[in-house]
Amino acid sequence: MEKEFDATKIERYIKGELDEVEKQAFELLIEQDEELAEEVDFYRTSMDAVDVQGAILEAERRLADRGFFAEKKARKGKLITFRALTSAAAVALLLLIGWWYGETHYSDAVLAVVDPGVLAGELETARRLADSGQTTDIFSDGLQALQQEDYHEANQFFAQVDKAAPTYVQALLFLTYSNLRSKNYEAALENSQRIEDLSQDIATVQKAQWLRAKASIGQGVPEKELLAEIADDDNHRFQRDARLILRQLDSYWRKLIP
Amino acid sequence: MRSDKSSDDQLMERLRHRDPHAIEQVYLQSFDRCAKVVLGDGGNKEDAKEVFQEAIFSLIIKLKNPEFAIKSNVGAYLRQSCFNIWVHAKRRARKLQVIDAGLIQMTEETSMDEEKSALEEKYERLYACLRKLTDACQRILDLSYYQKKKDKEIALLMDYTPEFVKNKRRRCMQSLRKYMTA
Repeated sequence: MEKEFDATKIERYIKGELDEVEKQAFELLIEQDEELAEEVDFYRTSMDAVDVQGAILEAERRLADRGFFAEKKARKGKLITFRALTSAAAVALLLLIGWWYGETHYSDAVLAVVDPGVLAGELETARRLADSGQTTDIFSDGLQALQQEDYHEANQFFAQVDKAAPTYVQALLFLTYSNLRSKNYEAALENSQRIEDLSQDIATVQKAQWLRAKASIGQGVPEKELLAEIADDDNHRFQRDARLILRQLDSYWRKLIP
Repeated sequence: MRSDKSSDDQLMERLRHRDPHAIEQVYLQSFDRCAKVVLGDGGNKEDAKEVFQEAIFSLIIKLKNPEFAIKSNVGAYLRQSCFNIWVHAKRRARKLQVIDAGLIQMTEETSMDEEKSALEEKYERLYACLRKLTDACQRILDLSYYQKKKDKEIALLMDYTPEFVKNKRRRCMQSLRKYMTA
């Protein structure tokens, strides 16, 4: 049977609450009784462990009162929100870059733009004729507006020339070009078709086809068959351009543009 | 939060004296790092709290030895300690079935285990056994041995008689002893 010890006395001894006489008498007992010594040791370490645990729990209580552990949750929530926002911002930025790239490289407006070099030969001839006074004032005014890239103004002058001389292909070519640059695609389509019908000159017909193809893109209904026809024609001066345009029309980036 | 050597020394001195404010400071500085270890290895918040409690308890007991010193800093020490405690806890729960490459730190843990004194092991067992006691026992022991309240005060707080408090505490200590020798 296990010995029963006086727990209160052990506690008081450990706490230092015994007077000197009691203390000495108790220490004598401890020296003589191994089991009592062991019990005192057990109480001492246990009380000490409870003291350490108590300090930790007190700190935890204070922290909990200040919302420390709840704050962890909130902070984690904020972190998740921050991460989600960062990811969303990154995706949005990528989409924006994609949209911008598509818009500035593959949009109808960009693909419909015509290189002024298309008219280089005609412009030179027209300028020479105008300088020598062999053209009307209106035609000269139209040329001047074209050189100044005032396409609306150019439209009006060349339209007047076209009204006066409907078979004058050169004026019609300038008019179509001005139509395109001023984004009057419907008129550009109609006038380019007229050039193809009127002209016997292959080079002029090819230019008209190219202007028509561009006008169709500007209108939002690309004439892919015409572009394919140009792209397949080894003798067409716009073959390479047509191939490039066809690739751009089927580009992934273009799909990003609403 | 990074702490320099002198502030770490001051902190450890205050921990040695079981200053609850110092313990609070340690929580503020290092709990997150410990929680990351536990949460990142399948544990939950309660696990993290328990593991951190045990790590601080163990540190305070180690500080009883005047020769004990931390090579790095308190934060890093506690993080490692949390890892070791968590691995042990998982082992005990037989959850740790596969030793993977992620447990390379076990080597450090083993070496730490070897350095544990008999006294430290005794306190560790005590810590575990104290947690097995009923809530009433834990409260009576806390009020008596940590808060140093008289039996009369405890009796008022717990709606007992002082005599009952004295007997109850004795029975609680007997239970604790049983757990220790089990």
